[in-house]
Amino acid sequence: MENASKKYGFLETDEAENLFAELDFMLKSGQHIQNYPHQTEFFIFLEKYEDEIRLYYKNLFHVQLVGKGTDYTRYFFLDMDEESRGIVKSRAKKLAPEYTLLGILLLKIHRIDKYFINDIYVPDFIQLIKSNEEYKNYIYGLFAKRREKEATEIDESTIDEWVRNSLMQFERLGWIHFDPRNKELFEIMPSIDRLFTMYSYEIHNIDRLIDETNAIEETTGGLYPVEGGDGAE
Amino acid sequence: MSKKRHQNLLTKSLRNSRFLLRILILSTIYQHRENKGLQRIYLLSMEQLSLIPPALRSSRTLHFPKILRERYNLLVPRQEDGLIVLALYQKIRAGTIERSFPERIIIETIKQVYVELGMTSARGEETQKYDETLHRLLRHFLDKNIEEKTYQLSAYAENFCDMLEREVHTAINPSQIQKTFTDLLMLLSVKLENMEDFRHWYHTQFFKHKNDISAQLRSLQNQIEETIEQLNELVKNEQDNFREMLIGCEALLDRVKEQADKLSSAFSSKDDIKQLLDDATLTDEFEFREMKREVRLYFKDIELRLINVSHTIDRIKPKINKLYNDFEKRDFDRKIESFLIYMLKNSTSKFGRSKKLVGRTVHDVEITLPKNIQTKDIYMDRSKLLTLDYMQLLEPPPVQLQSHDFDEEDLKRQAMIRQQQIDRERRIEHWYEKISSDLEKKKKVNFGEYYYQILHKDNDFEQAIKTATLVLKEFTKKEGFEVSVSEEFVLDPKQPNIGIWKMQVKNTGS
Repeated sequence: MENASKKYGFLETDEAENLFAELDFMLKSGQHIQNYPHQTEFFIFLEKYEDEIRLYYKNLFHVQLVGKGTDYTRYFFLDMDEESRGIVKSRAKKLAPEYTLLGILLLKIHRIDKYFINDIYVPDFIQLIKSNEEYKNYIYGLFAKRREKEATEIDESTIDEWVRNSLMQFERLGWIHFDPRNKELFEIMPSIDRLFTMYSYEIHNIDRLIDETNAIEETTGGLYPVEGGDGAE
Repeated sequence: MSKKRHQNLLTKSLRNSRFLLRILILSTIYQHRENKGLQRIYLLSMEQLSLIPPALRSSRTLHFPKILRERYNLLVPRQEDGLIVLALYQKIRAGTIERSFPERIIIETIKQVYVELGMTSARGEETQKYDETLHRLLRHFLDKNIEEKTYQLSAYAENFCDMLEREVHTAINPSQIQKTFTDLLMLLSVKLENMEDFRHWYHTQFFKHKNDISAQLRSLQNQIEETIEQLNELVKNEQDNFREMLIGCEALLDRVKEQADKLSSAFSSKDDIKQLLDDATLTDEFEFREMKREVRLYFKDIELRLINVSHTIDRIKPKINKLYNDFEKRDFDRKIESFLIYMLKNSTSKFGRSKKLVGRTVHDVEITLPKNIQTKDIYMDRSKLLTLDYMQLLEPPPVQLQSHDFDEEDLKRQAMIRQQQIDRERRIEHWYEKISSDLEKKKKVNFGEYYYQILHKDNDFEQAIKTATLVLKEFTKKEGFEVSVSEEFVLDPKQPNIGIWKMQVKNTGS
């Protein structure tokens, strides 16, 4: 018994009394924890008892406490490993395709463009997406099945809705953080990189993926089964 | 710096003739002290120049010495002439020609410069052109030794070249600057007795050294500009040795910054100079105050420029870091960009009915990622909603259950009591019915009789009283009946301890 109590000694600390219930809830809700003011307490607690907490989740819940990044970019989250994937499958949720798309867009902005160093103003962000020459046509194609110039108010609202809903989802995941004083301002958190680790295989092999897709396009003459009803081009 | 680049800078400087005029005049005075005639001219112009600011401020016309205006085009050479002189100067310094050189060398150099500048002359005109150039240069830049038929660069030419080189490429030398300041300070301390001494300090020592100091600062600024230019080139054209060049640029900036810091501390004795000037007894003199103001302004300018240098570097540094990162991540970034475009291009969407939301309508869009890309799992053991209100709905607080304890043994007794109550109610009902039917027949009844009958038959006070209450209540409000109560006791000999008011119910209806 004594050994067992030492194994999860962190549970008996004062900090745990104050923090662990909420931290546990956050982690199990899929949230990522990093060393940013709104999560600092939890982050410090996690770092301090990292090994014990890892054991705790591993032994009792069959999930991995994962820590990625270094220094200021370090973040924690719960994940299933190969072993636990079968056991706790029901406790996983798929990141919806539309969220995935916006996530990759944010990731690109965060890692490459760095257009915005600190806070991003949501309307600016939407404007950027709608006006970027590289991808705006694809976005209007997906969410409006029209080109930007022909877009109606409903089309515009649909894109706005997509962006805003995705951002809300990302806040729940801890990938971004909204300014509590101004809910139109958000900051990209280091844990947005999680999306990169999820798709790292695809990203590293993107050239091959493109080649393969092009090859299919050539053999089918670029014809794909038409999806959706109205206005499909 | 490459030779060509150096040449370009020199050419640029040559074009800036107005600026050159100023530095030439200000700086050559010291070196030309031997040439007494010239010295007088320059001293004159110096005097005038020092008074220019007030003249400019009051918009008075400028009065340049006539000789300066006439000789301007000879003193400040045209581009090709300047470069010829510079080429000769560099050749002498490199030891490829002697200090005294024959005319042939000059012609060769002229040819070289013309080729470099792409200046071609028609056949037969060359000789004449060379001859004209030589004669122009002889006015101020070349001295001819008539006996030996050789030429030398004049002291003015040497100064001119020296100034050009210093302007574009000064070796930063903080310890030299420190020494300069110490000298300035030392000299000033003995030149504050009278106005003439101070004027001398101001026009000679201060002006000369001022240019040295400015040259150093300009040199720092030039180095930064060059580095920025290199960086821009680097960003524009992807070069093979990108990383090495970046390291080079960064090292260069580090050095500039270090030099700026050193210069900054080397300038520290300027405060002593300012102090000396403040303490001087000459303050009453207007001219002194004007000169002192110039000195102070100049020092202020130096300070600002040094700060500016540091700021510029501070601004560039993060950008260089970004370039480093970009280099490291360039391939990786390209892949993320490709991935994003790939995802957006190959995802598909299906449209449902439009959805009406508060204040807006949107399409109901269902997105599907490209066929070879899977959606990813995120561990989520709870509802995706984090708001507490919602969670309370999902997991309401436990209901407090009340425990009900039963005393089984007492159940019989309770059942019996309850049965008695029911029986009593039935009997009360029976008596009420009886009184009612009697009233139909008799028109008038005395309740007292029934009361004692109840007591006698059922031996139940409570029953008797409840029956009385019921009869009173019912017949009082019942139409066609009247209840009267008189304060006389109805007694029964069998129940000696009980008495009841005389209550009569009359049937008045029928």
